Amino acid sequence: MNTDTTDNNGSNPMSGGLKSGFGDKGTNVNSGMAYGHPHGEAIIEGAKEILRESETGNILVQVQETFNIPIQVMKGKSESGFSPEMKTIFIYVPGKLTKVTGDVVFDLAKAAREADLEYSGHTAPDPMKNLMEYAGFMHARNLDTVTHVCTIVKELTNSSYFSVLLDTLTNLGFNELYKAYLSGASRDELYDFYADAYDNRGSI
Amino acid sequence: MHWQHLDRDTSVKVIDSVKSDANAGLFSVGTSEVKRARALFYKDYFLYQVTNFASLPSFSFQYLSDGTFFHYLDGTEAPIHMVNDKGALQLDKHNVLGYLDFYFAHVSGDEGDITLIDNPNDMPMLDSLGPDAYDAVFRDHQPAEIQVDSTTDSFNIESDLYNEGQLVRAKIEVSAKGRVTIKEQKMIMHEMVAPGAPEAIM
Repeated sequence: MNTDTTDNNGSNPMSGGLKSGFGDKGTNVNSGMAYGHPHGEAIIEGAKEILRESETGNILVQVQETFNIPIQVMKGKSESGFSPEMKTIFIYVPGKLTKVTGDVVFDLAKAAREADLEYSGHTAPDPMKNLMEYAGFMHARNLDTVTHVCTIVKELTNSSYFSVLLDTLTNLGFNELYKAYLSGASRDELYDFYADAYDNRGSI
Repeated sequence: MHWQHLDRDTSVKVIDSVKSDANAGLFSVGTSEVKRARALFYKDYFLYQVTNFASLPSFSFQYLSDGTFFHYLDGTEAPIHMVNDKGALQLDKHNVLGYLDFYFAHVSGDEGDITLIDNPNDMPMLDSLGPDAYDAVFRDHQPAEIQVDSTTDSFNIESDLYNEGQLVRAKIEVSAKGRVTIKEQKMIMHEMVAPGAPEAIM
């Protein structure tokens, strides 16, 4: 992590307001800030290993590897996902963690499915042209990716990872959606559970 | 927390200050916005958030900053401790719970997130509980108790926590410099997760 260790002027830069804090001494006093996770590679390998044990997860890993989609593991807490603009999967993992967790498996599966859809030609419409169409697309895509994760969790029912992955789904607010998925609910019914989870979380 | 969107010029300066060459695409000026919020327990330091809206999900980065030096909140305690050691932290009995909430929101535990449960409605996994367990969460919840240790200027807090998949009553010490130590945990509910189910998989 790149942070300063000493102040360079000893004054209070906020006393003159935010802008004066930057002053004329140049802005990039934090140059070289590092965002990459020191254990990123091992964490992703661990997540892939788990996904490979599921038929659906294995396909998603193959998509990522076949299309050579870069995975950047960032320190911190933010939403993970696939960026079509940068053609990169970004996975956020708190800097303190050194091992794969259920959250990482979930995030990697979801992001890989987003990439899979993108590479299959399901690209998002331009939000500047039709916002409603764009929103509809994004929600449909989110439901698809979460349903894929449900499939993976179901396929791993007899594995040692199952309880952790199930807790992750529950922790993320998808407990009811997963139950509905298992009971064979229709897409419209699943969408209702997805919408509830979205309302509770504010994002997916 | 009340967020204030920064004007274009200031946003550009913040982005210029925190951007990384290795991840330049994430810090595009054209598709990013910057906002900041005051944390009541910090003097002269604000919480900043840079969000790139170029794609969904949007990618965000949070920092503690005095406007010049930006400390990226990377999920470890290091950036918070660094700011605290500059004398920016001003804890008292009224804001220490807010600090603890902020701390747990930005510092992961060794096995995953820790959540301060000030309101049982905010508890993770609440919707997965059966009726009896659900009722027990609300019945057994107790508001946080704060005691000031005037000899060390530290705070001894007893509060509900969600930690490693368990709802616990914890004794937590917060030092004057903002070091947080969980000293004791007592499980409130035993039946929330399968016994022995680990949070970390490997």
